[in-house]
Amino acid sequence: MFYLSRIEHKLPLPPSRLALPIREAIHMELEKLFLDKVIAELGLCISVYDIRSIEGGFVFPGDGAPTYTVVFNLIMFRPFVGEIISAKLLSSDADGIRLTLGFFDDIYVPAHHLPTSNHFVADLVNSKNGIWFWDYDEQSYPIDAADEIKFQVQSVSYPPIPVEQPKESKPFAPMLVTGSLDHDGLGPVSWWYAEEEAKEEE
Amino acid sequence: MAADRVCHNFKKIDKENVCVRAENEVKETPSPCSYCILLSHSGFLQMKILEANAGALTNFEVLDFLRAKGASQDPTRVIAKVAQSEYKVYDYLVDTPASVQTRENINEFLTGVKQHDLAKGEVLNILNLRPAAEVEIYPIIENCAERFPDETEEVTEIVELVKNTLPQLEPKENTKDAEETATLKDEKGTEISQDRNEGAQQMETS
Repeated sequence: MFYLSRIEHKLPLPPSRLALPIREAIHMELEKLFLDKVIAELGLCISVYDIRSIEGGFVFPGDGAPTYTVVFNLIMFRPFVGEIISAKLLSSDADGIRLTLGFFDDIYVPAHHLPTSNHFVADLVNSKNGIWFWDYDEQSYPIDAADEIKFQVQSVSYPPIPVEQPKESKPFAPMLVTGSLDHDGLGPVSWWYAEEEAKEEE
Repeated sequence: MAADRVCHNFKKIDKENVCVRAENEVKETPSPCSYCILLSHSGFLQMKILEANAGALTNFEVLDFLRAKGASQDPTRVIAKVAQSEYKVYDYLVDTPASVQTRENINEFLTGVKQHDLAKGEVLNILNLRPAAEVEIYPIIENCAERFPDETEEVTEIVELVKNTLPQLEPKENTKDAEETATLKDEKGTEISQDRNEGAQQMETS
């Protein structure tokens, strides 16, 4: 789920930061640059882990800042295919459901990855939204926001930045995770705990 | 554009910055040098990925890192040097089993799990989720039935190991109560919590 990634960067350090000790100043500048941003193929940057080396400090002509070559480690959020992650429900519509981790919410579970033999009940007020149900043993189990939902990562993609975006489209997501609930043990946690308890009672 | 080709020998000619090498090549009309990225260097992200995967981290390690940085459930969040986005990660991790794990627990589990033939990613996944039932293990282990001939026995052993070594996360109601009391304390005086926060930071740095 989380990885360290080593990166080298030529970093111009604004003069306003030069009053601070150099390490601290560069740390702050790196945080400003990378925190909460997605780097293609690396994932979402969570935090600056450490700074390995700082070199240079050359002031380019016509430039009002020294440029340092910095090697540092970042903590990246990059789920791997097959990983199980627990998340919370963000929204659900006829196409499938969307999950959130709190810090990352571009996780989609399309309808064909929901537990098989399922049905969708649209909301009365807003017909776009609704709740998905898993039909098992003539019973329906809802996928609702009540508890944590475990999903398996199917794929992680980094769509290129669109040149032109059509109006009223979804906001651009630099990292998309597709998940699946179609396996024993996945889906809302209560599905499986309730079953365990029932088994023990027997 | 390779970042190491930045040309350092600039000379000013006719209000335009042109690199010396370019001047030698094109004497009449000064033009941007093809060797340097002067024109874009202030805004251009000169980033080189040295190692995309320098090691995986468990949820516990990330949480430990954020705690060491000063993140806590204390409502006075402005004081600590932790960014908003880092708090979002912290809030997520605090609700996972990682919040009650310790280094000793994890080492104990890792030595115990060696006898089972599991991939690194699977061990990592088990640590992060702390599956306490057989049904939760099946999706984590790929091709469970094929890899382990006596499947149920092996899986039960792993579940037992998880239950014995990794502590269980307290039900949520308790943590909420704790948070509420923390807020109550805080209303009495922010100074107290400030002191507490500093004390905690000192402890962690020492």
